[in-house]
Amino acid sequence: MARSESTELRTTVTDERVPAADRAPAAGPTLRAEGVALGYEGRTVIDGLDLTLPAGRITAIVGPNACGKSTLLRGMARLHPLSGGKLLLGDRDVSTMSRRELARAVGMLPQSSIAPDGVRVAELVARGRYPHQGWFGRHSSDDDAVVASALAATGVADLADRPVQDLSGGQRQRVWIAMVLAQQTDVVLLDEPTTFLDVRHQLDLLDLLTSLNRERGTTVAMVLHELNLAARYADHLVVMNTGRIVAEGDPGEVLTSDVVRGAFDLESDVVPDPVSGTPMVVPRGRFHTAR
Amino acid sequence: MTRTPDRARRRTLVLLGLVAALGGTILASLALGVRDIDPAVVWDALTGWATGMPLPDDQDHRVVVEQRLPRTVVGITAGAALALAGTLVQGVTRNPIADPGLLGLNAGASLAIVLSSVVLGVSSPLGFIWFAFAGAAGAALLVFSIGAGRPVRLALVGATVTALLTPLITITLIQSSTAFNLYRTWAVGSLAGVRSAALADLWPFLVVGAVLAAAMAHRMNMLALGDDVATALGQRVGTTRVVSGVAIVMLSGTATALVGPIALIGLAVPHAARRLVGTDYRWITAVAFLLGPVVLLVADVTGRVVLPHSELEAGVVAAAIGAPVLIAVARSRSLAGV
Repeated sequence: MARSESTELRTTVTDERVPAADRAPAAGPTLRAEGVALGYEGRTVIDGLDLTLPAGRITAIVGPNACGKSTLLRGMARLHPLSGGKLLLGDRDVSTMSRRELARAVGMLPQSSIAPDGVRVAELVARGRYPHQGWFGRHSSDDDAVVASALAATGVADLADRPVQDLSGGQRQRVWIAMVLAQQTDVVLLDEPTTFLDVRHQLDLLDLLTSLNRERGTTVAMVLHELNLAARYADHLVVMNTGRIVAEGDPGEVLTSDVVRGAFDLESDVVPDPVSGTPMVVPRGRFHTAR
Repeated sequence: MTRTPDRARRRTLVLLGLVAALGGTILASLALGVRDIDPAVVWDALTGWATGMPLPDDQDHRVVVEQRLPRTVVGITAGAALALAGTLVQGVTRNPIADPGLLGLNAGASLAIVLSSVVLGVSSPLGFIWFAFAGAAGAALLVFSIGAGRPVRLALVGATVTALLTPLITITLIQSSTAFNLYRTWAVGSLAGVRSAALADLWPFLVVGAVLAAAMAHRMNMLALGDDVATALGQRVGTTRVVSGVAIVMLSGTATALVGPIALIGLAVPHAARRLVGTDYRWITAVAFLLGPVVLLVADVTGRVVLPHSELEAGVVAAAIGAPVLIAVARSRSLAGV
């Protein structure tokens, strides 16, 4: 693939933030959970929860460990069976769709992805084309173009021939995102995509997702641990605790000391982020509190 | 860029090389043995047989058509079946040391042979092959039904079933010398004998198994990324496991019944295939399909020529060939991914 093309697309990714008015319109319908119940072998984790992922926006789901946020996301991707309620994509009940059909509309990057030893970047990304292919996975020139654009958009085109296991954690995560992009879905769900990344690569990844959202109108929903990055990058913030949503909406309104106390059982000051102006949670522990 | 021409060419060359190697080993299998036969005579014998001419009263022709041809056909089919089954087992369990034996197939077949001899008085290899197949299938079905879905659970249940059956086999063998005599002709892993007659009955299983294995090849690529990713990409992972299980039972159940528990083909050939063509299961499957017969035939022919006036069983030679391959794989920079 032409190197010039990849650098060109790469720059658009790292570009300055696009003003909200310049966003691409939402690419697809909203994904909505209505009264969903989810659990593991008799233990109910979530019971009767409603959540709408606004189309063409970035939603971040935060909450303490074991609050059910990953389970919720997995349920919305149908990786985990619903024990009650329903999922709607636009006005369609997701349970009437085949897996393959859903995989053409909703992409999901789970935590438990495995890169087989020896698999090369382009090869792994090309597997994202699976839901669009026939039973033996014959490759079309269309597939090649989509894979090339996914590699370019995530800035890994130069790594196309490298074995995935030789890459750094940040590069590897970009490759997985490229695979989900190659799936060409209007909705992309990510379960803790920044978990094993250092702070710089966390920002890189969130910038990447933001530009995809703005340029393509892709609906993004992700589970995040880092509250301040969630508040900065999300259009829609969902705070969960013990299987319920305790607050959701614009991060500037949602993320208050009270909400943090309610969800995390943590005292904190919430101040404006000096960089973005979004709320920044400064936690108070038992020690080191000057004020 | 997604597929450099170099790699595509390499894969094509590997396939062409294997086709040539298979041709060569088939010829060697027909020509070499206690009695070496000139390739021209082999050709005459084959064309004569193929055009339906009556067999001339020539010792060489008889050896080629009546002994070596059936033996070669059994070697090709069993080698391909064991290699395909091994590829599927490793793919479905994401376990690089998995082989059909891990799913209890060999133990099931062994027990069935031993019991058929002791309980039913079966005394000929042709008689016990159906029992061996039923035993292998029964054990695998048991393992799949208990271990359903979870790769680690499958391996554990397979090991448990094998551990449970093995003492039963040993006890029966110790008690009955007729059972032991019957069992050892099978367990040593040989292509000699009258197995081609059984192949005439069992081949539909092999064909169905091979077709299913080919159909599952691309699904293995997604499954290799983890159940969650495969599901998110639109694959019904449960269906993949069930269909693969059926194919494994058909392929390796039949092959094991025919030629005995030749473990190293199913274990080593998929690894060798990965080293040759990379991580794409469609190519691994194609290479295994050709490489399995080559390895088994080479093992068989080597066993025929290495001892004067006698034979070493293919299973023994295959182990001697396969073990170094596996050691080389294990010692290489990274264990070729599954």
